[in-house]
Amino acid sequence: MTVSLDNGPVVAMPAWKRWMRSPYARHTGFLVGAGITVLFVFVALIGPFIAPYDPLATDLQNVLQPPGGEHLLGTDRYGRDIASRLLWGAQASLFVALAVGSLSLLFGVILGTLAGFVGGWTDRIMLAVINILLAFPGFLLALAFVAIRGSTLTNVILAVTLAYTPRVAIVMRAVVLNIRPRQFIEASFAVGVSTPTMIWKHVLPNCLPPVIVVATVSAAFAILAEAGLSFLGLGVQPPAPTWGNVITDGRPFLISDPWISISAGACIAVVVTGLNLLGDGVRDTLDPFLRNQTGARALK
Amino acid sequence: MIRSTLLCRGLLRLKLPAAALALGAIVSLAPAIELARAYAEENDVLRIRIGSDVISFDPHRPSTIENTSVAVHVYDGLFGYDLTDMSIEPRLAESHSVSEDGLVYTIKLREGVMFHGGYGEMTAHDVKFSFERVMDPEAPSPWAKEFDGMTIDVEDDHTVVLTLARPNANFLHSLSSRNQALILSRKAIEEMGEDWITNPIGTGAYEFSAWRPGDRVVLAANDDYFRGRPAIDRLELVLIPEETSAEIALLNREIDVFFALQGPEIIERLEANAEINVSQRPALISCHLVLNTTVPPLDNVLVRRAMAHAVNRESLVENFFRGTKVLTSTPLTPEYVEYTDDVPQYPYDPDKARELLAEAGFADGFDFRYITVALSPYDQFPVVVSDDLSRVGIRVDLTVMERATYGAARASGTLPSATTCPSNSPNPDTLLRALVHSDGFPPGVNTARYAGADALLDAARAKQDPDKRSKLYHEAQRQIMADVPTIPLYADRLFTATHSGVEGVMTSAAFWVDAYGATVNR
Amino acid sequence: MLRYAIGRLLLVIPTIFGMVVLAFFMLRALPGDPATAILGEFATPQALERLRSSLRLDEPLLSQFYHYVTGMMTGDWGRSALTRKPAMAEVMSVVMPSMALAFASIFVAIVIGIPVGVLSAVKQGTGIDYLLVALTIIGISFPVFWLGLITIVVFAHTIPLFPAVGAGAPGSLLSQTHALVLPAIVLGSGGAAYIARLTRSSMLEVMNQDYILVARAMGISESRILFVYAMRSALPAILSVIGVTFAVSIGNAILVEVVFARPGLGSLIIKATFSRDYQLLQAGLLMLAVSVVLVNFVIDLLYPIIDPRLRR
Repeated sequence: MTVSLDNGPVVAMPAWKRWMRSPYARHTGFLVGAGITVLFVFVALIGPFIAPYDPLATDLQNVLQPPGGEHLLGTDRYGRDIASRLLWGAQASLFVALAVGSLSLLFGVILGTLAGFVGGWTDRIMLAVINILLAFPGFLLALAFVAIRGSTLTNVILAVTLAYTPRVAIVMRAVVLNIRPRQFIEASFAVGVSTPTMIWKHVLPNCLPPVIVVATVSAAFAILAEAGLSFLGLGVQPPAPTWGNVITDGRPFLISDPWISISAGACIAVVVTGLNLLGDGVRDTLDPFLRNQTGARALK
Repeated sequence: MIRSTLLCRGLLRLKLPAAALALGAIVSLAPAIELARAYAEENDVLRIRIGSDVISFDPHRPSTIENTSVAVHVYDGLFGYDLTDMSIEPRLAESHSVSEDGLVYTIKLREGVMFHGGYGEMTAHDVKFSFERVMDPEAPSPWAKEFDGMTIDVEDDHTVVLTLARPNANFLHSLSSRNQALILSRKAIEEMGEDWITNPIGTGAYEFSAWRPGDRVVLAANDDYFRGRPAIDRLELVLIPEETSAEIALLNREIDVFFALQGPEIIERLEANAEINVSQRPALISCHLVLNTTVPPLDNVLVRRAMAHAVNRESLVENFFRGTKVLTSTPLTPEYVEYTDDVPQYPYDPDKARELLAEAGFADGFDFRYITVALSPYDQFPVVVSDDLSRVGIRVDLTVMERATYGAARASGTLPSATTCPSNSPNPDTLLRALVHSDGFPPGVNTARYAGADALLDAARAKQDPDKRSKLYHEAQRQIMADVPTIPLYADRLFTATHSGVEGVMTSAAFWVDAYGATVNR
Repeated sequence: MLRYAIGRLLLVIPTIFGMVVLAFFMLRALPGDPATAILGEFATPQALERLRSSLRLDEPLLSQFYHYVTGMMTGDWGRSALTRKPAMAEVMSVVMPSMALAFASIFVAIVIGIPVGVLSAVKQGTGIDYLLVALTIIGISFPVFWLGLITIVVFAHTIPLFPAVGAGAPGSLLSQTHALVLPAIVLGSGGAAYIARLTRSSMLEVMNQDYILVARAMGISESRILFVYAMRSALPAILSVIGVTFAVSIGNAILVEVVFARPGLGSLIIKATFSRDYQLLQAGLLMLAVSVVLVNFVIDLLYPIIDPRLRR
């Protein structure tokens, strides 16, 4: 089982050495992606402490200052420091990405396992519902949800989770269906291992890597969706410092003061690139069969 | 090694046709660009940018500046405003007389005015139909109060007699507005049923031709217009919500007129451009932070006065809006004849604000929900205002609501605050009655729930003598500003940018665009 | 083949019905009263009451649903609450620019994506490959609306080649095509990146198969191997990613339409959301969802055509 990273034969080797020998350590994309992601998490955590200014404090004497000088990335039309807003915004983005990634993983895995393992009508009905949800473009679903529930950070997270859970679930189901007929599962059943134990001990560990790929993609999508919703005026409400809000604030100044929108857009692009590289790296090192199974769906 | 060169060659061979295709595409695109340019420079069409989509062609329904901008071209009223000085002039009316007591208006209609699309001559029956439609007790127009229980009698085909329930010195304003006063074709509405709303029939300078939602409204010149055929054959009101895009579109000549321009930076840039004329005029719109006088601690007048002192309105107008708005001391704007500066003033004074708060028993400030709507610029300047308020210790929770949610929430009347920019009419009564008279809620926008100036406003409306009426309005403004049910943040100005060859596009102080007299010389 | 097609179609119908149900009940959960949204805050209680009853808002949810579904069966999708125009007609009036954008963006995605993917696979491990792979990852990492804003500034302002906004003059195909270029490229760039990545990995997989080695040993020309034999096996996977790309494009098209101020289903849905125009919103949502289902249906039909192994 090449899928299994944790369940392989245990060799007495220090963890770092084992890691160095793993395919991940040789995958440039994975390393770069992991690097960006770690950096992003780090910045998001310390951002509020190193931000030079209050991200909400307006200063009408110093509006639209160019980058450099007292304000590293300049100021917006309210005289707020853009660097500080971006640093605080990293936190919001991290929160959105982390929450969506883990929530969609949690729900998706539960639903997918259920559908794949129980089978029969449960599977058919769940598959039908999932397919209906999948036919609605993810962003549209998120938009409708936020319109219904109002524009708060929590709702943006729930919205994107709603849009992405079916994607995780369908991959999970595919992997479960693929693993179920294998010999070691049959064997476990034969020796009388109970279903929950088996799912927990044997199915989940083998399914997780491909599903994590989808969760990474959904985390990346969450960051993009937050920005998109802010752009439509349905995201986290201004004046909260989020990257999406900074882009939107800078929109009227694209010609005269483009750095506002460009800096925030660049932040998003870098982090999303990092997450995508990370997801790619994990997928590339997986069983090629699973890559094909998950590839098309996971890309959404 | 050999394999890869082979592959390369294979690829190259296949890429050649692709490259040729791409080149072909570019070559064939060039004339497309030329053609599109040529189309943009057509002589007989004027393209005007509007900022949001038209919602309805029914002028008696709630109006937006876009709806009104279509309505003024398609319909006409008995009277109308001369947009140069906002004075009232007869349109579909030829003459009128008023009885001694100011209750009976006898109006003689112009003869031979035809509705668009062969719907016949405009008669007194259409006037009666239109006004009764406004007042329909089953489904009154939001402007029904403007007509306030009047009765309409058709004397003959071209004479109509309007009898008011009580004297209203502003009544000619009510007959000149571009909302309730516009005359619809009775025959058209009866024949078309619900479909008429998207096929409006009027007597105006332009006939409705097409509407593509999310894109544009197309109007065609009315050859038989009673004031003379307009010079430009076709009018297109093109929807471009974003101002930066509209600026680019104007520079590229995708549009000729950039109507309702707001961004101070864009105004400055376009003013510096030799090919573009930027015109401006004071508007009859004021923007308010409405404070609900029934919700503690806003029910305490000291708190409201403290808040008025806490907001740095000079800085808002000068630094945030870069002088594109003006200050006003009352809910009316300085443009109104009835406006006065002689009212209680609230200059920026954070110390005074803190003192007043302490006096009211809120030395440590209080929690305040500042509610506004997600529409530019109403979701922008409150950021500055809340920051000002927080500097005197008020803990502001700024809530930006999406449009429909905001409308419904404000209509509940229980919100502690609201961002409201009322009016659209040179009639001071329309604005003040809506914003700070108990007639204004419910339904309406007097979400301050203020009634302290009712008596003065009613007396002013009934007074026929213009001087005495003005005095009463001054008195009302003093009363209102002593009680501060709303903080008037600024009065609007209307900016319009046009290409230098475009002349005669008029804008109204009540925020609409009128291209009847426009000419294009490219 | 016919049985396969009918089987697929039978799957499409319940999916679409499910969407109708979902769209209906999801929308009824929107806060804010449609009647207030339409008549404005000056409306009197009587007027609100009248409008509510004409929109059937005062009836129980299930009864509303019944009328909605039966109406849909007979082609009556209700009237837009705001304009009183038939919702179907209003949706249809903007369907063309929307579909033009969707298909143009897919076209851009295919035309850029497949050659880039093939080139990348052929050059596997070289600098070009790395560059292209990096580009395809970065390509899906920009917020699409941000890309649109930058594109407008660069290609409509700095170098004024294309119109900044709109879908072109009504009636002029040239002007409409001209206006389509920028949005299609912006919307298609993400899809191009997806397709390129999948083409690359599929091609790499296929290129190592025995039959390719045999073909090469038989001296068949490399380009023929590449584009006839390898491509053929890689196509089903590429086709499936096109289906996915279409769904993503439809979602992103909302943002692109707003950025470029284009009429279309996206802007219509946004407008209807803001004004609580249920009928219009439902019609718009369904039109989008149905188009996704139908495109995937067509792709399902194409599988057996391009992959003989599925023809049974």
